[in-house]
Amino acid sequence: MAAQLPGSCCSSRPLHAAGELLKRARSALPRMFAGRVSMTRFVAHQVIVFVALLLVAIQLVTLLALNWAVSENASESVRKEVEVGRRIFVRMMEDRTQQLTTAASVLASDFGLRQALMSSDQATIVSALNNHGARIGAAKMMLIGLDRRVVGETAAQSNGERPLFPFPHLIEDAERKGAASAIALIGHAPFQIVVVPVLAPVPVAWVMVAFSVDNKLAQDLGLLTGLDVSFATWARERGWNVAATTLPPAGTRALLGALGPPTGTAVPPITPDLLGADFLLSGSVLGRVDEGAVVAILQSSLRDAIARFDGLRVILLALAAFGLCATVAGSLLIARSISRPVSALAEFARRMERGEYDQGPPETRSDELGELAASFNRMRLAIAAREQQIKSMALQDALTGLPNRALFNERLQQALGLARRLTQPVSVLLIDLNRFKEVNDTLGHHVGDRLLCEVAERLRTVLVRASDTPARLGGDEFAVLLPASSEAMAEATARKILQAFEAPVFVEGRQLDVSGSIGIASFPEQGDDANVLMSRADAAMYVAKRKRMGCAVYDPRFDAEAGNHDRLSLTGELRQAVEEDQFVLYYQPRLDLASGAITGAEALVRWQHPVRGLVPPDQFIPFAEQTGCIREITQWVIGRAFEQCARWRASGLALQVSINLSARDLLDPELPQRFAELLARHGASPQWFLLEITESAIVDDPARAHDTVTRLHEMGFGLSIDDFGTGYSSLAQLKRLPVAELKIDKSFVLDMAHDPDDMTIVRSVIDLAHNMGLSVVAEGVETDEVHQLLHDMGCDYLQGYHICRPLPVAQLEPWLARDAAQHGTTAKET
Amino acid sequence: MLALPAAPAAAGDIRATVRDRDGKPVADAVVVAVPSGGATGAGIPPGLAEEDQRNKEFVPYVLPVQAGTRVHFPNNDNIRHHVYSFSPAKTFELPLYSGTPTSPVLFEKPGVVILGCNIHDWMVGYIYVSESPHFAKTGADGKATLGGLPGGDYTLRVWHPRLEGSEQATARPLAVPATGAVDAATTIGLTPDFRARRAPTPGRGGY
Repeated sequence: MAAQLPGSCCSSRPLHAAGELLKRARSALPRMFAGRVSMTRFVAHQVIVFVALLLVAIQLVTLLALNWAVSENASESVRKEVEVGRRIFVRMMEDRTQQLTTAASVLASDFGLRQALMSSDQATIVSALNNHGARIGAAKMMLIGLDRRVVGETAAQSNGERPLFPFPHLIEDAERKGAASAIALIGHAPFQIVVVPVLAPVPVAWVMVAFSVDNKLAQDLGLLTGLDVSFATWARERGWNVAATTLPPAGTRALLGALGPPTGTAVPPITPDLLGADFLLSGSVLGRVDEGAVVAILQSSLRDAIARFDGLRVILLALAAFGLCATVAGSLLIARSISRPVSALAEFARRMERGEYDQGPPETRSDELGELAASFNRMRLAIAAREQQIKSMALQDALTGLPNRALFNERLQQALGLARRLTQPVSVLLIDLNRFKEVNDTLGHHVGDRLLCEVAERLRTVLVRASDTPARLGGDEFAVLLPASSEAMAEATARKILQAFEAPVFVEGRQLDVSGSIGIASFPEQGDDANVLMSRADAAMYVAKRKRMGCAVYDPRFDAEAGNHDRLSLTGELRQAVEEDQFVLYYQPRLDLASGAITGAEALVRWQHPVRGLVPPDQFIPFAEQTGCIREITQWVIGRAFEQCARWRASGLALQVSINLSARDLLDPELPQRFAELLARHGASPQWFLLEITESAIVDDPARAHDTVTRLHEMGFGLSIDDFGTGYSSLAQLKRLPVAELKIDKSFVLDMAHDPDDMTIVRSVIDLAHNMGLSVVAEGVETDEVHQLLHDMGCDYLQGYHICRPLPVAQLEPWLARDAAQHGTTAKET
Repeated sequence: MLALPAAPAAAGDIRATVRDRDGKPVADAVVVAVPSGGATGAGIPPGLAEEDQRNKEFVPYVLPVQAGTRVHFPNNDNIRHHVYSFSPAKTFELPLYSGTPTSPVLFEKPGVVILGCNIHDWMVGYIYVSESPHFAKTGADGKATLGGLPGGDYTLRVWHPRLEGSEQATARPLAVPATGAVDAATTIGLTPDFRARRAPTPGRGGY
C-alpha cells in the first residue's frame, strides 16, 4: 500500500491526492486477491473496501477541517501577534525614550560637559558634544541656548550664525516636564530626538541628543515583537521611503510598492490589509512635522503562520497513510480469520453432505464461528444418530426386531465376500412356516404376529454364534445366514431349528403348533452369488414344504419344481409375450373311463420363448399371477380355446375343453362379461367348457370367488376344482360352490401305486366326490398300474402321460384320429 | 544677619513688598535700589558673607551681597560637597571639600551667581551680587526693608530665582525721602520652580 501512496504526501493538493489514492486502492484490492476469490473472500473484500473508503472519507474531512482551523487559527493568531507586537512596540519605544532621556540627562549633568558647554568656546563646545554624544551612541548632539538658538552642533561647522533650533516645541515640552523627546526627521532621515536641560543647577542651556532610527533598532524591535518592523518616512514632496526595516529587500520593495507614490498633502493612512491577504500589518505614526512624518509599520505574514502548520499536516497525512495501511491489513487479517473457518465449515458441510459423519468441524474457537462450529458438530452427531436410527429401522423388521431382507442381503454379500477371500463356506437357510396363513386367517393377525415373534425368539435362541444372522424376509418367511458353515453344519442347524419349533406356542391360552420348511443352499457348492444362493434355498424350501421333508438341501433337480432362477427376468418379458402372441395352446387328452373314449382335453398354455424355447407354465404362471399379467394370458387362452373348440365342434369333434382359471381371474368382476363376449365372438357355447379352479383361488377371497364362480356357472360353464387335496379348502366351502368335478392333484396320483397313504387319499377323494355327486378326474397318471388302480376305484376320468402328453393342435388331431381308430370310440357330437 | 552699616541719621527707608501675580507674598526676592546717579561706592565697603551647606542644601537659598564681598562656603554636613558656578558673574569651583575652605570666594562682578553642587544635583543656591549697597531680601511675608538710604531718586529692581522676564524689566524709579520710609510694592511673575529632585537618603527608605 505504502508504495502506492502519492510521491509527495505533503502535496499542496491533498484532496486530489486522496482521490487518486482511493482510485488506486479500489483497483488494487481485486488484483491483490485475484486467483483465490471465494464468496467469503468477496464479502471480506467488500468489508475492506468499505472500511478503507470510510477511513479515507473521515481523514479527508479531518484534513479539510484542519485546513480550515489552521487558516482561521493562523489569521487569528497573526492578528493577535500583530496586536501584541504593536503593544510591545509602543512600550519598547516608550522605554527607549525613557532610557534615552535618562542617558541624555545623565550626560547633560556631566560636570565636564557642563564646564565645556559653559566655556563659550565654540570649538570646545562642539568637541565636548562629539565626545559625550559618542558615550551614549548618539547620532547627533546640539547645544541650544536659552534663547533657542543653536549654540553648537556636532558634525556641523559653525559659520558664526546661530540658527534657530528646529524643534522649539520640544524645548517647551522640556521646560514643562524636565525633558522632551520625539521622533522626527532631520534632513530626510528619522531620528529619535531627546531634549534635556543643562542644569547648573538651574537650566542654563538645552542639549538635544538625536539617535538614529536605523536597521539595528528595527531588528531589536523585530526580535522583541516577533514581527517585521519597518520605519517609513513620508515627506510631502518625496513621498514614502523605508528608512529602516527588518524586511528582506523584496519585502521592502513590496512594502514600498504598497505604500504607493507621493500623493496628497497628509500622511496617507495605513490599513491592516495594505499588503493584501497574505499579511497583516499595523502602522502607527511616530512623529509628524509639517513636511513629513515617520511611521512605524509592523507586519506579520499570514502565509508563514499557516506554513507553521505544514509539519502538522505532514504528520496527519502520514498518520492517514499509516492508518489506511493498518486498517486494510487489519481488515485482511480479520477477513481471513473469518473466511478460513468459514471455508473449513463449508468443507465440513460438504463432508456431511457426502455422509461422512466421523469427523467434526476442524477447529474450536471461542467466538461466534466457534459457536457455529460447535452447533455444526452437534448437528453432525444428531444427524448421524438419526441416520443410524433410520438405517436400523430400514434394516430391521419392526415386528420381530430381526434384520429385514435388505440387511440380510447386505450381510450375505459381506459374508460371501469374506468367504471368497478365506475360501470358507457360507450357508443360507430359508424358512417358511407351514400353515401360517391359516393361523392368520382364522385366529387373527395379532395371533399371527405373536407367533412370528415367538419364531424369531426361537431362532435367536438356536443361533448361538454371533455371526449367524436370523432375518425375517417378509410374511412368514425367515432366513438364516450361517457364515463359515458347510452344508452339513447348515443342515444340523436346520434340524436344531426344527426341533426348537416342535414345542407348541401358547397364544391367548391357545396352543399352536409351529412347523416350518427349511431350504438350504451353501456357498460355494450351490452357488457363488447371493441371488443364486437365495433362489436355490427357496427352491429347496419349496421342495421341503411340498414333500413335507422339514428341511432340504438344494439339488439342481429342484429347479423344475420350484420354478427357476430366471423367473424374475421372465416376468419382464411376459407382457411382451402377450403382445407378440408368443403363447401356444397345448391340449392334454382326458380319458373317460366309463366309455374308454377321449371326451375332453385340458388346454395348457405354453410359452414359445424366442430365445429360451418352450417354457412350461409353472415357470411363468405364478409370476404372471403376481404381476397381474395373468389377466391378459387368461384372456388369450380363453379366446384361443373358444375358437379351437368351436372349430372342433364345427368339424364334428365334440371335445369338452378344460381351461384353468387363476385366483386372480376370479377376483376380476368383469370376467363373466368378457367370457360372454368371447363366446359370442367365436360362436361357442359355455357347455363345451370346463373351468378349472384351484383350491387356493377360493380360499383367498371366498366371497368374491364364490360370486364369480356362481355367475360363470349360471352362464352354463362347468366348474372343476383343480389340484384338489393340496389346499386347505373346507368341505363346507366346497359344498356351497356349484362345481361338478374334483381333480385330484397329481402329487397324490404319481406315486399312489407305491404309497399307501396316497392311495388312501385318492380313494377317499373319489368316494367323497361321488358321495357329493361330483365326478372325479385324476391327473398325473403315468403308469398302467395307476391307470388300473384308478379304474378300480371308480375314478371317472384320467389324465396323464400314460394317456397322452399335452400336444399342440396339429399333433393332437392325428393322435385323436389314431386313438379313435385304436379304441373304436371317440367323442362324437351328441 | 547682614552686616550692614548703620544708616546715617538723615536717611530714608524703603519698605518693599513683593507679591506674585496671584497677590501672594514672594519670599527670597532681592530688592535692589540703585541711586540714579549710579552706584556709588559710598557706604561701608563690602565685607565677608557665608553661604552654608546644611543638610545638603545651600543656606540661605538666596544670598544677596554687594559686589566685592568675599563669601565663605562652610560645609556643615558630614559629607563632602563640590560647589561650583558656571554663571558669568562668577565662575568658580570648590572641588570636594569638607569643613570651611580657608579662603573665601570673592564676588566682584554684579550679577546672579547660581550655585550648584556637583555631587547633589538638587542643591541650588543663588548669590545675588549687587552693584548697589542698597538691597534687601524679602521674608516669608514678601516684605523687605531697605534702610538708611540717602534721600534721592533711585531705581528699584526686584530679582527672584524664578523671576519671569529680566530683572531690568522690574526696574522702576523711586524717590526716597531723606527721612521716613517709602513703600514700594512690586508685583512679579514667577516661572515654575525648576529644581532637580532631591535624591533619596540611602537607608531611609526613599521619599
